[in-house]
Amino acid sequence: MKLQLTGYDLSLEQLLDIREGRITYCSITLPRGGTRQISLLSGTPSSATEEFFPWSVTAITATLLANMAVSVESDLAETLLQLLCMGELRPPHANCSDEFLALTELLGDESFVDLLPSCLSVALAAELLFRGKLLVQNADICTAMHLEAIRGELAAFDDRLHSQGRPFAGQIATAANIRTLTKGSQYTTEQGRLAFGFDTAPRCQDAICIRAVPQTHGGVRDSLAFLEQVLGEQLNNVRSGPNPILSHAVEHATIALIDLGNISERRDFRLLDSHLSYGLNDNLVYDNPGFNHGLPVVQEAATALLGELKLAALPAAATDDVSSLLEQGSQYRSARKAIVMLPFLEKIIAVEAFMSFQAMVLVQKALPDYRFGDGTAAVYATFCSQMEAVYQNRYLNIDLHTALRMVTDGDLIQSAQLAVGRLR
Amino acid sequence: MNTLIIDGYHLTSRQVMDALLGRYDTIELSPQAAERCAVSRQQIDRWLEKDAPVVYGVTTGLGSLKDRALSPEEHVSWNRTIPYPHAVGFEPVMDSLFTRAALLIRANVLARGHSAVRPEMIRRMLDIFCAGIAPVVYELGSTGLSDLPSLAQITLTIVGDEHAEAFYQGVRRPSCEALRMAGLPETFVLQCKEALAQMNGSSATQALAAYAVCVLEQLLLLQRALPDGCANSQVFLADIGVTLQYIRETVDMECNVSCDNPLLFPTEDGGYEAVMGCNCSNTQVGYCMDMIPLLCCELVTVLTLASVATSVTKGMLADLRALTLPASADSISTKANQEDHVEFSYGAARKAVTALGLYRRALCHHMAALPIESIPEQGGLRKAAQNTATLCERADVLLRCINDFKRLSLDTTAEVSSKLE
Repeated sequence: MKLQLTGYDLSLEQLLDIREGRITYCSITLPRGGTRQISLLSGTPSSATEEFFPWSVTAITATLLANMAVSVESDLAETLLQLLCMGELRPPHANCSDEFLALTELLGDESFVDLLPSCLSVALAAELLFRGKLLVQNADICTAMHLEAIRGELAAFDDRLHSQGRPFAGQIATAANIRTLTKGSQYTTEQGRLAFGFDTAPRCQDAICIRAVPQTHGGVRDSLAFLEQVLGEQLNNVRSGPNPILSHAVEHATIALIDLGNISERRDFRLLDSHLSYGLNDNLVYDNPGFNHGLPVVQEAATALLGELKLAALPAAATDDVSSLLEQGSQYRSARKAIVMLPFLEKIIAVEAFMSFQAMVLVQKALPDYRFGDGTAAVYATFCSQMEAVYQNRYLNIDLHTALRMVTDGDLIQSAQLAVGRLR
Repeated sequence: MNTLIIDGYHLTSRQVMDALLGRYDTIELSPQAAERCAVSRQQIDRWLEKDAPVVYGVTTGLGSLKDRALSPEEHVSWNRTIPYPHAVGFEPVMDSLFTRAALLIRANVLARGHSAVRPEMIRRMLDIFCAGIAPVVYELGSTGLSDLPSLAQITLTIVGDEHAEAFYQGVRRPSCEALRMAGLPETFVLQCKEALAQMNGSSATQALAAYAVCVLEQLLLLQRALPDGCANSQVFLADIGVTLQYIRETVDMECNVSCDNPLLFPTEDGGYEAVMGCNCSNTQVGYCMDMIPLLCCELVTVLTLASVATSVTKGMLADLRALTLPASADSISTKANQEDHVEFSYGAARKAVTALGLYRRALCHHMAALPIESIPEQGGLRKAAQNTATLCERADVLLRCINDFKRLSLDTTAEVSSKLE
């Protein structure tokens, strides 16, 4: 698919299409007439390394910059697009000056040098937005899986509590996802709880890290919605110099996404304790406890990641000196910090997905004739097709990385959506 | 006659501030809200008549005792005593502004009807508010995942408990005495579910949040009236305004949400069903409060470049930077792991108010160093500055003016929002 750059109607949907490989080249109308098509770099989604940003950030930066050039009918649009698509962008140092001097020399023109770090900041923020949204959906899925395993109380996800009680948009959406994913589940019922045998009285309500999921995941969604709004207004109008609103939106989303990690790690914690999981084997051991260790060290991995993730909470502006903040702004450092932080969160969610699968295996073992909900059953089946349960001490790391891929590549989301339709 | 109608759906932060400033002649529960509450309350009465289902906070105990149903007789004494183990906290004592705001906001959210409390109880709260009685609340000790400690202390004043204190006419005294002096009944008995409906939820955080948003809006307007700090100051001032608008929308929304547990919803057969959730979680507000120190930091940074009083302003800036570390990014489990995700929204709101104090101070020091004609006239600032001799004295006087919330307040809502655009 092709993207026609006009300078005024570039949308977030198109940037997402670039990221997901649906748009593979850009078309530009040259100032002196004629058009030119340029292939965008493509690749599979990957995490940032020390040296390079994800390829999608490069592609989007190039697109934004070329779009701006087109809007002023510059001859440079074509050159810019080509140059940037040649290779990946290295993360510049704080002020972005060194790397972009090189670009100025190549172009023989200074006019777009200021815009390059600005477009890069916007591209990084867009990457944060796209991946952040996927992570919330993955976290919703993990919560639904957790509910199956602990035969959780679904009342906390009742639509009325959200659309009538506390009508924040993100909260309503997450509650809807949980209901959709668990629809038809026999485990998450009073009957299921009694049949399993741990509960002797009605559940009433589960712990906060489960029942406050609409509020917390919802808060993450709302912060991403603010980021989306800010980005949407800037795509065709990228500012040079300080961009405080972008910085605010990115930092706000960063705080919220860290909290997504907080609540996920607590759900993992509960799965290891038989009292807190309402009767699943301690440490999620399938059989022969004591000899078989179960998943405590897997859970710890999430805790360790979370410990580092939290450190990204300090806003970039707090460590900027006065002139730097006022002349260049903190948006680039905010956005770069967020992209460096994201893989930690993705791994935390992957640990939860992996552990939740094992927990579902255990609950199914106890009640083999019961069925999971439509969405959770589909996700469970996807896991089964990729890995075995942990029946005994065995090397786990390959499967853990498979779970990570299933999170970041969108496999879990896709398998759920095939069964229950589009998730919010 | 300037009346504030409390109906559970329309209260804004600015209205809360206006009410605190005594700008309303009366504050009333709307008849529709009263009717809603009376009807949902009837369901509670029906449940207590015969074998009640196990409904958390209605027929049972709390927390890890949630599986035990109390007898109807135990409910009355339980409601009297359950605030005691909750009403804990440490000094400082919360500013009266906040405890009164919490009372008003709590009355409003209960007016929505989902909490199924009696209209009389809501009117009791409004009476206490209108009398100017400010419950004494020890500020430290709430996590914000429910401000149980703060709100339990307010509850004790509402019922006229012997341990409760309140500020009345500038004097701290037993709440009973304050109520008596104000011509209100000294005691009020809470019926089934009403104690939890008072305590559960984050109205104290909300009071801090509403205040923080309104104060920052006004200080931002003040800074905009000053000569430009630097080349890019307009970009910062505009963008901070937009982010603040987003924060205000979130805070205003939270003034009108039901936040206790369970909530009652009408069923098709004319009755009500109780649904349990985590209605007290005000995550969205916590994340927003964590943005306020960052905005203050940026505002003071803009000032710094233009400021003559640089050493003072830079000192404020360093302290402000330390305050930008978000409270919401951390979480600690409580209640034997039953409340295991706690992101400290109350701490975030307290931090926001602290940051505003620093920003206010930096603004005053900055203004004090300006030529007199550059000091804005509003709030009597320029006039107050004229009679001072030293920079220090001038800064102090300006700070006193700004701290006097009444004087700084602009007159109409429309004026404030048009200037923010």
